[in-house]
Amino acid sequence: MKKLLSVICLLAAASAARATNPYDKVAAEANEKVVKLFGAGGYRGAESFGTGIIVSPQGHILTAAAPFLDGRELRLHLPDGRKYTFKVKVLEPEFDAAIVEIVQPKKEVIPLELPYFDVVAASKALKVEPGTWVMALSNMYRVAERDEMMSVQRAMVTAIGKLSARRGQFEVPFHGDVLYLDTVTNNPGAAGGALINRKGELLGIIGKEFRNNQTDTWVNYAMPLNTKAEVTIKGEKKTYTLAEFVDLAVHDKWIKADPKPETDIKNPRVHTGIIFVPKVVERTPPYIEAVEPNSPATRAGLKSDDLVIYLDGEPVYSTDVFRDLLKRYNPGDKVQIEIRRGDKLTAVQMELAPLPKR
Amino acid sequence: MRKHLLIASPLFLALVAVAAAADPVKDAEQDRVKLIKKLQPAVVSVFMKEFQSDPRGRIAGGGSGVIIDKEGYVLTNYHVVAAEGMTGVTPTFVCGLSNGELYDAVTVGCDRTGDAGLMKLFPRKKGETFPFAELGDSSELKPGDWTMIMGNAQLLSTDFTPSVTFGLVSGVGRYSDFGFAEHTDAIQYDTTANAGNSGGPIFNMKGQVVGLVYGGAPGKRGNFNTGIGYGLPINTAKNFLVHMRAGIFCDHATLGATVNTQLNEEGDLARLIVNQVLEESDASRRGLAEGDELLNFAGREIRSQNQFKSALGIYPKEWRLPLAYKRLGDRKETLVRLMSYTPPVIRKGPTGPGAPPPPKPKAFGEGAKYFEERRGFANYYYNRLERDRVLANLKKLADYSNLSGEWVWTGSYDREMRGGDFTARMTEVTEPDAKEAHPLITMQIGLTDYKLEPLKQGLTSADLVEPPFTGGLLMSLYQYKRFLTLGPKGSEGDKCNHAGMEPVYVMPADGSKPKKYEEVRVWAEVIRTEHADVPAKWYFYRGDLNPQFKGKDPYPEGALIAGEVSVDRTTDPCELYFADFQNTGGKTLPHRMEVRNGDKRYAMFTIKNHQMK
Repeated sequence: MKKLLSVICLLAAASAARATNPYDKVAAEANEKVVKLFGAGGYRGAESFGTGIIVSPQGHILTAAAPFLDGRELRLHLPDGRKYTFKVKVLEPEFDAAIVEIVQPKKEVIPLELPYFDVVAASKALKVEPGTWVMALSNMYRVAERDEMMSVQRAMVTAIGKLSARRGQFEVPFHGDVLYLDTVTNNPGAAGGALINRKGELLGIIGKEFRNNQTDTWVNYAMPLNTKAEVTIKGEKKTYTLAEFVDLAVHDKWIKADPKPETDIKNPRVHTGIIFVPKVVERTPPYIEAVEPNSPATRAGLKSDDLVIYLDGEPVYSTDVFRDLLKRYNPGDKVQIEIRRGDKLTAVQMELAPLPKR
Repeated sequence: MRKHLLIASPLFLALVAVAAAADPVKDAEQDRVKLIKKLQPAVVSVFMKEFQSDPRGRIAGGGSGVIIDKEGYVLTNYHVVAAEGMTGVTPTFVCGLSNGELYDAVTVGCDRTGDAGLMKLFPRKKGETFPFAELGDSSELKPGDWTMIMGNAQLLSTDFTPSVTFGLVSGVGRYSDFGFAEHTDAIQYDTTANAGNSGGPIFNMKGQVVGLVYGGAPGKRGNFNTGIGYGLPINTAKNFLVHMRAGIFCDHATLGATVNTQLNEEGDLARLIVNQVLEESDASRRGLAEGDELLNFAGREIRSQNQFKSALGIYPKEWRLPLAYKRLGDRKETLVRLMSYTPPVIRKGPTGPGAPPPPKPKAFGEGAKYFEERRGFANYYYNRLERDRVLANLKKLADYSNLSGEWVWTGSYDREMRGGDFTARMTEVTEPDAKEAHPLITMQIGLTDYKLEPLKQGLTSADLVEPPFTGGLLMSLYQYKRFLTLGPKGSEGDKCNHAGMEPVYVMPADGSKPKKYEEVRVWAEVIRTEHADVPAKWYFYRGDLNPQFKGKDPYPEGALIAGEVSVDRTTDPCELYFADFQNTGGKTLPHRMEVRNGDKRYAMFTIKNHQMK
C-alpha cells in the first residue's frame, strides 16, 4: 500500500514538474510591464526607437539614455496597444539611463493604473550570479508595434563585471558592474528592455550596442538594478544604485549630476585613403573618385565609382557624414564598409591607418 | 497502520518532491536526446550540383529540408530550390539522409513569396519508404516555447547527420520586411540558425514540425549573428502544400483594397480604414468601400498594419475568406475572393541590355525524368500527375467518358418561397476539332424556358448569364457536362490543370446564413478548365484535407462537390454546389444542386432523375 502510494506520488510530482513550461507564461506576464518607445527620425544614424520598463502605475518608464530621447514626437505603445506621448523626466548620463513619463491627454481624468515592476523591492530581492538563466524582452529591430509582443530571448549570465566599452571612439559613460550575457541581446532598439529571471522578477535593464574596449567585439550586457554609480552632485561625490536612481527620479527627488568636461573632436584621427568626388552640394553622395595607392582603401579592395552606403552599419548619406563618423575611430580599428558597385551591394573590411605625417 | 500511513505519506511526498526536483532536468535532457534520435532520419541535407566547372558535377551550395510523408516529399525553402542568380527553379538535387545515403531529388512546387519549396526524393530500392516528421500546428506556438532546429548547418553535415540547436520562440505573428524578402506572420526565435540551415525544420518539443528556417535577420552590423532568426510558420506552408504538390509556382494574394491606419485621439487604439478599393476586385463587388473600418480577416482581429499584412500574407490567391468590417457603426461580414499578388523579383547580378542571361541549372539523375518546365508551374510533371489522380478518383464514383450524348435532369426547385418542377437538357458535346458542334442547353424552371447555344457566334453578355440572377447557369451546366465527359481534352490549349486547394463554403440547406463561415467550410482540391473563353473551377472532396469531420465525411471521397464558372471575368461567377450523393445505376451522382451568384442563393434544385446517354 505504502509502496503504491509512493509510486503514485512520484509519478504525479515528476509529471507536474516536467509538464509545466514556465517560460511562455513568465514571458507573457513580464511583457505586460514593458513598452515600445518611438522617436522622430534617425539622429546621426542612431535608431529612433527603443524599449522601456514600466516602473510606476502612473506610467513612469525606465529606459536607456538613447539619443532619440532628445528629439521630438516621443510616443510609446503600451502592451495592450494603446498609444501615448511621453516626455523625458530625467536623463542621467552617469547611469546612461533615463526616466520618462506618459503624458495623458487632458480629456482622460482617470489616472493610469498600469502593471509595473517595483524596482526598489526587486533590487532588494535581487539574486543573480554567473550561470543564472535569464530572459531578455525587448523590441529589437522595432519588429513589434501596438499590442504585438516583445521579442523574447533566453540567455545565461556569463559574468558580472565592470563595463568597459565604447561606440566608435566614444567611451560608455557608465562604468559600474553589469551582467554579461551569452546571447546577442543588445540589438538595435533593444536598449531599455527588461532582463528577468525564470520567475519573472526584474533583474536589470538591457544596455546599448557597444564594443568591448580590448577585444573590439560587440558586448551583450544588462545593468542590474543594484549596480552602482558614483555621481558628483553640486561638487559632492555620492554613490547610488540604479534602483535608488529610479526611485528618486520617479519621485522628483533626483538632482542631475554635474556634467563631465567634454572633449570635442574636430577632425578624424584616422586615414582611409579614400578620395571622394568633390563636394559640390551640401549632401554630396559619397562616391569614391579615387583611392590612394597602398592605403587602407586599396587593401580593402575599394575602387573608384564605388558608392559608400554604410560605415559599421551607420548609413552614410554624404561625404560629410562619412567624415563625421570617422571621428569615432582610432588608428588600428577595423571597420566594415558596405558599398554599391554597379548593381551589387558588397561589404569590405578595412583597417584604419594613422593620419599620414605631412 | 492507517495512522502510520497518514503520517508517512506527507513525508513521502516531501522526499519525492526532492527527488523529482533533481530529476526533471536530466529527464528533460534524456527526452530531448531521444527525440533528436527519433527526428534525425526525417531531416534532409540538400546539395546542389553544378556542371559548368566539372562535367561530372560539383557540389555547389545547399540547404536543409524535412521529409513530410513516406513517399519522400520534402519541405524546404524557395531560396533552396531556386538558387540566387539562376533562371527558374533548380530542377534536381542530391539529398543526404542520416542513414548516410545520397538520394536523387526533383523540385516539385514552390511558393516564392512565402519562401517555401517542395521536393521529392527518389527511393534507392524499389518499394523503399521514407521516415518522415509529423506537421504540427504553428498557431499554438507562444513566445517562450522551446524549439529545436535541425539541418545542414554550414553544410557541415558531410555524413548527413543533421546538427541540432535548441532555443526559445521569441515572437509569433511577426511582420518584417528586409527589402529582399518580406516575411509575414513569421516565427521569431533565438535558436541558432546558420547558413545551410535554410529550409530546415523548426521542431516543437513534441517532435512536430512547426516551421521552416528562413534565415537570420540581417543586422546593420553586416553578417553578424543578431541572436534572432525568422521562420515560416508551418500553417502557412500547409496552405500551399496541395498547390506545391501539384507542381504549381504559387502566388500570394491581396484583398484588392489598400488600408490606412487611422490614429485618433491619443490613447485610442488604432483603426484600420479602407483607403481605396480596386474596382475589379471581389472585395469591391462584395460592397467594401472607402471609409470602412476593417475588424477581422479570416478569423484574426486586425488592429495594426502589421497584423493586416500578416493575416493576408499567408494565403494563396483566389481563396475565399471571411472579412468583417464596420460601416456607420454596423458590423458586416462577407466572404471575399483574394486577388493574385506577386511582388516584383529583386534581381541580383548583372542585368540590362548586353548582360548575359543568367545560367539555367541542369537537370541530372533520376529526377531529370520527372521534370517538365512550363510557365506558371515549378514542375508540370507533378501537375499532370495530381490532376489525373483527381480525375481517376472521380471515375471510380461515376465514369462519364461514354456519355457524351443527351443528359436530362428532372426534379423540383425551390427559390425564395417559390417552387415547382424543373427540367435541364444538355445535348451532345464533341471534341474541339470536330466541325459540326451545336451544343444546346435548355432549362425549364417552373413555367419559364431558358435556352443557350453556348458556341453560337454573336452571343451577348446578357445571353451568356441566362437565367437572370444565376451568373450563367446554362453556360455552367454546359461546362460541367463537357468537363465530366471529355476531361482535360475539353479544355483548349492545355488549360485543364490542377489548381491546388481552396476552401468551399457550403451554405446551410435551408438557405440561412451560417453563424460563422468557418463552420461551413470544406477543403477541396481544385481543377481548372477553360473552354470557349470561359474559365471554370471544379472542386473535389478529399477526406484527409478535412479532419474536422473526424472520419464522418459529408461527401464520398473524390466527389465533385462544387463548381465556379466565370462567364464574364468582371462579374460574379455562377456557383454550383452539389450534395446528396447517391448510387444510381452504378454511378454515384449528386441529387441536389444549389446555385448561387454573388452572395445570394438563386435556387436549390433537387434532381430526382438523371438520364445520361
